[in-house]
Amino acid sequence: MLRLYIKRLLKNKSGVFGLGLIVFLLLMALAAPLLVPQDPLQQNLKERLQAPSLLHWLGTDDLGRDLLSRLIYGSRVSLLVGFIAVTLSTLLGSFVGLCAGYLGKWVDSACMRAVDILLCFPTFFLILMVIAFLEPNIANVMIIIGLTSWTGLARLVRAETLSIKERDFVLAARALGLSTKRILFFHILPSVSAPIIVSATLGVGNAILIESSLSFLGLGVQPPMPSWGNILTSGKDYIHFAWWLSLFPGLALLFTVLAFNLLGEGLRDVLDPRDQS
Amino acid sequence: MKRYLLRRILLIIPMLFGISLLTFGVLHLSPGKPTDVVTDLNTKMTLEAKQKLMTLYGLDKPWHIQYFNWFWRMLKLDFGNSFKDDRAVLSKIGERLPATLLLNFLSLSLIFMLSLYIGAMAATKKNSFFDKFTTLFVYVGYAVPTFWIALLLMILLGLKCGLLPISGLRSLNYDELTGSEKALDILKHLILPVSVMALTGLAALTRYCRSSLLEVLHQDYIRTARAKGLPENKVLWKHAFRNALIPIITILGLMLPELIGGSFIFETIFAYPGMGRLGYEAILSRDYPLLMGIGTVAAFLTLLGNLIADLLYAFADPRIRYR
Repeated sequence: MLRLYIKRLLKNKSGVFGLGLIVFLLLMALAAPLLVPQDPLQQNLKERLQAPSLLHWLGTDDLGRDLLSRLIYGSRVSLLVGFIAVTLSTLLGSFVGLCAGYLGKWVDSACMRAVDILLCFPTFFLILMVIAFLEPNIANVMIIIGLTSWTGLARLVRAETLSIKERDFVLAARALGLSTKRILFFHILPSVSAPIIVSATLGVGNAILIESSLSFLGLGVQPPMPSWGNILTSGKDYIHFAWWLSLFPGLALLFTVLAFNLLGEGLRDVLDPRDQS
Repeated sequence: MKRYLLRRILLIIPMLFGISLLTFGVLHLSPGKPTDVVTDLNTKMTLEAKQKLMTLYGLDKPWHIQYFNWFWRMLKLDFGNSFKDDRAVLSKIGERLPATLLLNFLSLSLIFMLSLYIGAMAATKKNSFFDKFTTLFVYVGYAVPTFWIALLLMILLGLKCGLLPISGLRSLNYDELTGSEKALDILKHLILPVSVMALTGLAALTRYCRSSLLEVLHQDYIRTARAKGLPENKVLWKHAFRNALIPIITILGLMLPELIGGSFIFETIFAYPGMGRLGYEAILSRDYPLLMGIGTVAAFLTLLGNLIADLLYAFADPRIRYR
């Protein structure tokens, strides 16, 4: 089965492109210390705001730090925030969705009302508020993005669970006297895993975008730790004569998010052939 | 219909209760006090004076009593006074709200009209160059950090070419302008924020519109309409379009919270005098009453938008009746 999925995914051109880009980014983030031409924190005021050249491929920032090195280290922040926030939201969303769908009754109403409330709240306002009141740092950013982005998945998993729990194999499991826990996690969860995987992949891109917006507003990852968002903030002040500071971090963000979205779409086509929209 | 409307409006109250409780919880679970902003920097502040300040703002009472006091006053439309300048929260929001509503309304209209048109063109000419270009636009629009696009447009159109103003809603010489010049001035200031705000939504809705229309165009009644010799334009805009509209309205309703959430970023970037920037400033200065007010108003707007979306279903699809 797995081999079939991999074969199908490899036929999906944009999915393969996304996957390739993600693998490249992951390798870059992991091997960052070996790849960077210069320490991303090392300041050199003599070489501040240099345009891209052979020495500094992407130029330098206002403190003379090498932009390429900072971007490579920034990929670590983006990917880390993306993966951890999505892990959190996926666990939470799947759990709530499974419980609401399978247990029904008051559990269902309670969970779905909570989801309704979160869905009609401008999430970004909530995130800004929490981050500003706690301390803006990478850990808090990951946690709060994870805690606020599970609602869509919960609805999706609930709907799938509702239809699957009436199937014969679930009835058989119940007739065998298996515990609710076992039915939920060993029988129903595998059947709803396709939409979960797709939504998680698409979620990574979204989490990366939220982190960068927060860092851009000064409420995310704090300098001197380089994040693509906060590099853009510092670039904003030198926009008149240092275009490279505003251009490259944005492109990095664009392609990273695009890669996850393309892979997510590809996975959707492969795992869930019904929905070909 | 009337009963349905009444029930929906009554349902807003428990939702507002939940949302305001959430906002309140966030404010009160966070470490530190809003008075710290004033007291920490003032070396002459005695413990007694600090206590007095807390009593003045009602921060010395247990949180649930504070919350119920707040909720009770909110039902009477009294959101209290801002910590910062002691002005009524409602009038502070009232000053800024029209600008935000204008921004959101224009973005929403732009999203709706453009995405329908682009989506329809792409769907009718499937696999054409235009369709492929649309798909590319959709992918990039989804993935691009909008604040970055805002930044680039500000440089390109605002600073380099000097075509558009990049911040605020009015020029410095606004008061000297005549009526039509004033309108033009505001319009010019709106172009950048509105288009940047609409970008993500436009990408999303174009895509839904395309796929929704593609689905409808395969239906039998479309073949019938074509077979009886209706012009293609009429088939598309009268027969297919109306049926494709339903999922689009749903998506539009769901986009509202994101759009309003976006106001907080874009109004800050463009120094736009709306509720979003007021909220951002209130967050930085820990203005609890103002934050509670803005959170509630934003949530109320979203609930209202969802209600309107639900009512629009009936308009798009006469089969839907509300009871």
